[in-house]
Amino acid sequence: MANTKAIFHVDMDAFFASCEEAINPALRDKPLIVGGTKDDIRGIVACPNYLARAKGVRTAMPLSMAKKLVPDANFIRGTRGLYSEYSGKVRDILLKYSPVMEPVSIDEAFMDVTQVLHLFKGDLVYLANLIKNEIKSTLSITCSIGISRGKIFSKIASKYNKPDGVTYIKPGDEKKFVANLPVELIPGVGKSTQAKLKRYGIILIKDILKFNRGFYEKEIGQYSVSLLDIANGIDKSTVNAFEDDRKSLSKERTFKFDTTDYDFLLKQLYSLLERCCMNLRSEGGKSKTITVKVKYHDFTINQRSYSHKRYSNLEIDFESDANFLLKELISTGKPVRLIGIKFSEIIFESDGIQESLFSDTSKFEKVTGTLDELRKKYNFDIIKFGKGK
Amino acid sequence: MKFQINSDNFVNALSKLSFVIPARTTHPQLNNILFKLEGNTLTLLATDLEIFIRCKLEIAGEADGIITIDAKKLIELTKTLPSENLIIETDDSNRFNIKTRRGGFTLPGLSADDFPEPEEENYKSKISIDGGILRSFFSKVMHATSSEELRRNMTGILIEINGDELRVVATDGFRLGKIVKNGFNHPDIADNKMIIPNKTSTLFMRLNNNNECEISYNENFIKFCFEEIEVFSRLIDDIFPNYDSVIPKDNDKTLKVLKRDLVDSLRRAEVIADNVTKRVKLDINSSVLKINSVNSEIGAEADESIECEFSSKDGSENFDENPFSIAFNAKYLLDCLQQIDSTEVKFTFSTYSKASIVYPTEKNDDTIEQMELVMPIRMG
Repeated sequence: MANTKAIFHVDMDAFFASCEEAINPALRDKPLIVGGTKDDIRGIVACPNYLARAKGVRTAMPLSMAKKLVPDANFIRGTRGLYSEYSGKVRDILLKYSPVMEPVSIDEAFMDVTQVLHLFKGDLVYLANLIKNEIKSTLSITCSIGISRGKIFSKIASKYNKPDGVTYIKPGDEKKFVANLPVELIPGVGKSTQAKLKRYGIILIKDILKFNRGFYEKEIGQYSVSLLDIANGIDKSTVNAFEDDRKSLSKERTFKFDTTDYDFLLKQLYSLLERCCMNLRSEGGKSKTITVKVKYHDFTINQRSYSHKRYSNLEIDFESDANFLLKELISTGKPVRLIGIKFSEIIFESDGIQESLFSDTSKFEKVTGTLDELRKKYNFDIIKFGKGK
Repeated sequence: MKFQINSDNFVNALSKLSFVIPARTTHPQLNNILFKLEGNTLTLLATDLEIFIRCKLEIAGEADGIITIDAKKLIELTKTLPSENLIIETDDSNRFNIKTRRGGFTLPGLSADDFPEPEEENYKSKISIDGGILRSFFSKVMHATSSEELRRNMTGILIEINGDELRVVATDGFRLGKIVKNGFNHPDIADNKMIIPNKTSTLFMRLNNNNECEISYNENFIKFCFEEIEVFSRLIDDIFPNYDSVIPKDNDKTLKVLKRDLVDSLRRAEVIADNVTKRVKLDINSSVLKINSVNSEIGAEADESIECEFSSKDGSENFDENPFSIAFNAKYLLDCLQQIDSTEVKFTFSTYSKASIVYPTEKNDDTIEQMELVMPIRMG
């Protein structure tokens, strides 16, 4: 047991709705729909609370439909900045328990607790409840935790007993546990893969075992062979903790839907770039190496980097590289589920900043300085760059 | 085509052309060298489309002809040949036969029909300069050029001709090298500027010419002619930064130090300095220059003192009580010092965050003025 990995998937329950309820407890007693007001005809549901879910409201459903299902629900547009603030607080709590933490999106994270388990009586469920209860008591929001030897099964487990639940798949029980679960619970199996599998009668995870590797390569797609591993209870994924490296800084974003839309991806990339640059500036750092990372629909990851000769923390100096690197990464045509940006080889003002002869960026420095002040005072989205075509 | 040539002369000419042969190209002719024989004149031409180099050799011609041959194969083949007379002949099927004492080689050739031609006409201005001087000017400012493609206007050397004055300047935004030659004597030329790509100036330096060089140029191309060589190059189509405006005119502190002492000390301090910033700090009082570098990551420190003379213009500051401190990237400072041919060098400073200028204190040629400018590292 000592050598077996122990990985938690911490998944916040109805996160946006829970955060809204935490700052306004009066919302708790009725179905709550975050995404838009009743008058927003064209909007979609971003997050329903559990009372709304009980009446059939789902994420990404048109608001008009939600209105028909629960006409008496509270409809709100959502509070900017609130969710990332809570997400940050949750991560701080998780990091108290294990430094090996990998945030996946705003409302979920993996933790590898193998090395710290001895501090908690070697009891995984006890530790999971401890974490869950601390989040609940300090932030008034709940989460569900899945536990197993690998990330995939932990992620499946966290969905199993929602909300506010802990599910532990014991080592060796993985195959049995997932056998009768529907295939769509496997992370990465989207609607199109699900439809293809259904054509061959593959509805439950155990049905995957009816066919061999060659079949999946040929019929479903080369990356679907990992489905067989999952059906066989094999999962060797490990937690990639954020580098606690003073010389690098990164941000990632996972999308609700996999996409190949270049314009959309570029917009997301620029938004991450702006956030990273703002963080660099607030820490008094400058970087010369930018890395763009992409996780594709099949969970494979690719990344490309470019190093400049000079250090900078200005968006304008990295925009064209980011764009170029993105173009390379999406040239495969594979749908993208996550995009990330990383600055490395960072130097800080205390290390000494090389002065430059031509201050051609000073105007831009002034602009970004003002931008940063505004964003710190209000919130990040208060002001944006205009992007001309 | 048929001719005889001495193998040493042949290899010497091929090696001059080899520099422009691109490492990878999709245009098969660019891997080749063009051979054209007219009477006793053999013309060789190679290009990467940015630079053309043409070499004319007087040889014993027997039959005129034109063909192109794979440059790398030809150079590899001939460079180990002993000194001897080669008989070179092509046949009707474009085969290139080289007869040696021991036997010979046959290489497949290509028809020269689609071999690119350089810009021969439309050069509006012409100057003449000693090849050795131009080479030394290029080599003295080359270190300051940028290799960042995003700053194309700094990826070459600026040549500026204005009547009596020739200026050669390079900068990457952190340092700047400038050489001015007076008495250039071209009264008809006013304010002509061109940016020579690094590859072209490197080629010019490699060709090692010490004879008079004729330079013709227009807005897009430059042509160097000397001895049997002609080099045609595209110019960088961009505007060189306004460098004159950033050269400080009011640096009020002057440091004089022996170049050898400073270079040696800086080299040792560079070993210790932080790998990324290469920062070395200079603390200067009226007679001692302290050179210090610290690497907190590995827990190392360098601290040396050398003799110097340091004063301010009005003499009002007491540097023995309040030494003047400034920090630099050791590599930048060493690069610039290495370009200065003088036993003693003179620095001028204003503040710790402004540009410093380095001059030689001795001169071999009164018509030449050299300066190197280095931006400091702001001290945290």
